[in-house]
Amino acid sequence: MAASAATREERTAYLFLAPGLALFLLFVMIPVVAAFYLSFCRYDIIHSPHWIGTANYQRIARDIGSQGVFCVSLRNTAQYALGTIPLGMALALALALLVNAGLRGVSIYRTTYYLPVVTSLVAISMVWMWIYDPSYGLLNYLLVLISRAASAVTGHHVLIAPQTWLANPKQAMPAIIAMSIWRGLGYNMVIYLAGLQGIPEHLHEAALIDGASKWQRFRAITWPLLKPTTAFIFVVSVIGASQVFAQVYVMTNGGPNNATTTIVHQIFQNAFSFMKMGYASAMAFVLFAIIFMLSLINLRLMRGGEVEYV
Amino acid sequence: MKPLRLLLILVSLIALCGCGQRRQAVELEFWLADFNEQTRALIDKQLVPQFEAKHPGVKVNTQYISWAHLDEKLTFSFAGGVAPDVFQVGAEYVGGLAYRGMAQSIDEYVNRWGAKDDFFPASWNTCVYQNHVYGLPYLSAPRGLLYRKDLLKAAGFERPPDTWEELAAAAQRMTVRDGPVTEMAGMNLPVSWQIFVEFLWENGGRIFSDDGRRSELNAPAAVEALQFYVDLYNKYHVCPTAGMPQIGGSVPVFASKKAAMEIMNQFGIYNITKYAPELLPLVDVAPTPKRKQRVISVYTDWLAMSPQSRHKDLAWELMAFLTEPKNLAAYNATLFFIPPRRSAAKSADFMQRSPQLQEFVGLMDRYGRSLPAIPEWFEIRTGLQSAIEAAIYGSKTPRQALNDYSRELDALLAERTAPADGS
Amino acid sequence: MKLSLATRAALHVLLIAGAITMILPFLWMLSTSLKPESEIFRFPPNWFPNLWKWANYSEAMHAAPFGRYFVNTAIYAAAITLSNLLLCSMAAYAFARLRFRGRNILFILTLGTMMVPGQVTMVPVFILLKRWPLMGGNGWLGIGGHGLLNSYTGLILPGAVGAFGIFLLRQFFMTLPRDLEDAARIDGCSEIGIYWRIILPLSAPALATLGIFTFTAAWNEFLWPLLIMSKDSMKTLQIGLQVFQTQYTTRWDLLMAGTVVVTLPVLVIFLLGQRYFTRGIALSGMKG
Repeated sequence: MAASAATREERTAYLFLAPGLALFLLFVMIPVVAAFYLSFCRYDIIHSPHWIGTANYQRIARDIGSQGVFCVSLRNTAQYALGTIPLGMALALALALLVNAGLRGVSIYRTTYYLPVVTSLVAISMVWMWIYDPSYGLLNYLLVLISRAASAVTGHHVLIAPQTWLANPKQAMPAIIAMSIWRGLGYNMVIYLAGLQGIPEHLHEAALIDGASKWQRFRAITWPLLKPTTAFIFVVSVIGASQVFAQVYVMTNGGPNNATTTIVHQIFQNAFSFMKMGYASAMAFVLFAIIFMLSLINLRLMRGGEVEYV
Repeated sequence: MKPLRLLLILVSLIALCGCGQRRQAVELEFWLADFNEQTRALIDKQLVPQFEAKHPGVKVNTQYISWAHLDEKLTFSFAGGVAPDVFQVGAEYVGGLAYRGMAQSIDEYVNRWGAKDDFFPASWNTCVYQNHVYGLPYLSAPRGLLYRKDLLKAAGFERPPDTWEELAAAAQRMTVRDGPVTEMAGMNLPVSWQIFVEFLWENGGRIFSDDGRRSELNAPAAVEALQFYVDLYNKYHVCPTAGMPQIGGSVPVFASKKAAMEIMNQFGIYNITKYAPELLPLVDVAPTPKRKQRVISVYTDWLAMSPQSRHKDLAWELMAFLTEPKNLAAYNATLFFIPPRRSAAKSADFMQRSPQLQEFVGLMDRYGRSLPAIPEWFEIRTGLQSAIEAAIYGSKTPRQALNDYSRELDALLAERTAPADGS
Repeated sequence: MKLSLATRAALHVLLIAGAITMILPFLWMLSTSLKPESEIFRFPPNWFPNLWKWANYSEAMHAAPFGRYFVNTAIYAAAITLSNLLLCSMAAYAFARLRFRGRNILFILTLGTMMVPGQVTMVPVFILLKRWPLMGGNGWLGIGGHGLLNSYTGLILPGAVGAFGIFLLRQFFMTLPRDLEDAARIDGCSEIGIYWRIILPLSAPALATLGIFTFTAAWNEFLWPLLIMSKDSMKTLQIGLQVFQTQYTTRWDLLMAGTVVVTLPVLVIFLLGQRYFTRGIALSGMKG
């Protein structure tokens, strides 16, 4: 009886998987394999691919060795990830804690904070281009207001010079990072909110009775039980940050002076503007290898995060 | 409802959506990238109906594609076998299109047509690759030096600057600064490879060798040109700074009365007309300064025909129709560009009314020069732009930037294989 | 947990300050959409138009066949959402509840595909659709015509099943208590029955979550519809908005008006579905 139940289970499994898996195989997995094959070719999309062995990968290696543009894009992408992930996650957690503190109007806050996520990234990028505009933008206007306030308070003529933001090689990437954190906040906040609401009240109450302070409660109860949520957000954030593209393309197109070009921006340019699809595929798989390795490391670190509570 | 049934319904719905299309009368696909509302009104309501009236049974489907996505759309439509019959492309495209078999050479049509000599040479050459013609020029943008006559006079100059030294001197004299903020920039210059090319040519330099296979960007002429460009920014400080309207941004610098001069194409006049019409009588156009030679760079957008087109004769008819002097003038009028045909430039109302535009035409005719036709322009302009930016933002000296890029360029040009397999 | 009035007030202040930061850009979008062009770029910025130009909206909507684009986008987003909900949940159920050979490898492969940027897989998918046999004028071997290009099928099929959906739902299913299923199995219920009558209803929150994510992503998708569709009548809303940007100028007033209109449907979907949100992701295997 056990044997036929097992095969029946297997057959049902295959049946369930079949339609979705067929489409997934055809339109996702096979293209990934095809793209991998293309990374060993010279391919301009219009004519047939032409096998060139590891030449594309060698070119990437040379580029990294000589601090070429792909190397710069790796650095910029890492800068972007380091800038958006820790701060973004911390802010989202803080926000979720605030919203979860039993206030009224939770759904209004939730909607407002999620608004940036609902709008297309292209539209958001364009609005932020205005915010960063050196002459008409909101940010420089705020600097003017601050200058005036400071002058009034101190009695001296204080002037914070208007900044060029997106046209300044040192400020462009931080500007994009700030805008991305703003955008992703709602998304992570909602996920954290859910995680928080999964923590039973009675634990907090028991701790309160025992005289625990807010910080102690957070450290001993909230944070450990949130670990799985944090892990999920982290993995998804890493995958997302490493593939950042739309904001860069719309706001700075990789400039100024290659300060904001990211890996996927390089991939896009090489694939669709320079018609070097093979080289772009090679870059994509280098990226894949990096993310895969990071995920493995993440899994190792996160092991043992399961917390049992009575 | 059982899940299986739902699944079947879903699948059949999707399958139905893929049903074939009905056969129409002869349809021409026409893609335009330079347009605004007036252009669309002109094309959709006047020109296309006129053409369709002349050719009964023919329908022209016009699509307006943004420049930002033209490259991808063209590539994929050719790859998918659904390329447009006639499409508009930019100044750097002829080499790449011809090399990849994405543009049809129209030598026979042009020879039979006989209107070739009516076009300005600088405009016409934009459509030529290896002595074959691949399209018809549709709009042209020559560069010139726009300057404020009143400010120049006030600064003590009788005539516009004619050499680099004069340019730097005039710009410095006319720059007004208030602490870190520039109130009036002596010279409005975007950070652009096109400006560098202008200076390069003025200095007698070249981007490529004669055979187009090697870079000449590490030559002294090129380094001098880039040095001059960088000096305008970082040594003479005559260029706009933060707090000023962003170049290429919302409101143009020159038209906001925050710059005394600029190297700009005829669109600079349009900006004045739109944002500061009272300045119009005070603005004049001079040739860009010369060093070893006088050159005006001209960028032309043109119409190409797809080799995949099933109606090449008709596609040619459309191209010829659109470039008839009257129609060409009307199109360029909507966008404020110079019609690439002499007869059109002369007859156009908006051209005749503007003395500044007439100046531009004169410069274009006498000194105009277009980019050399090379297949790798898309990569080159990106790489060159990076090199220019590196020099201007100070992360490399002009010599370093150009030497480094020159090496890259040589490697890029060496990669070009015989076009037969198109790889 | 009872909070003092002072604490509550302080928290509200913080949250409202944050909410204002969130909304400010949208306020500018809204105010720009109602201004004439001349008023848009001014320093200092003015929030309230001197001249309320409601006509921007009608002008924007008439600049291109947005009605047609709306139909295309709605069909695309709805179809992708429904197919993802159905097919991902079925696959996720198999991964979460059924044992079979190669389960873990297959799951890891599925996750792995999320790490490859979509830009490089677009071309193979494009070629595949172009060579689809017996469609769009193609013969048996897929040559001669243009296959599934320029069709809804070609637009929808590649995105019909996403790795993210499988991942999310599998995590969720793994946290559901097994008692109900075991009881049902003992009662002789088939696997399909369990899936349909027990698992799915319990998963309403996770499904609503995935539905909103998928719908939003599809509604805002730009590149894929751009490349697949070469006919004007098949374009989507996001592509339509491009008409306001030309090489030298952008019609900000019309672009913002158009963007506001295009964003509304997604906002509505979000408001409708957000009740399920928190309950949804709460159990969504953020516990494992």
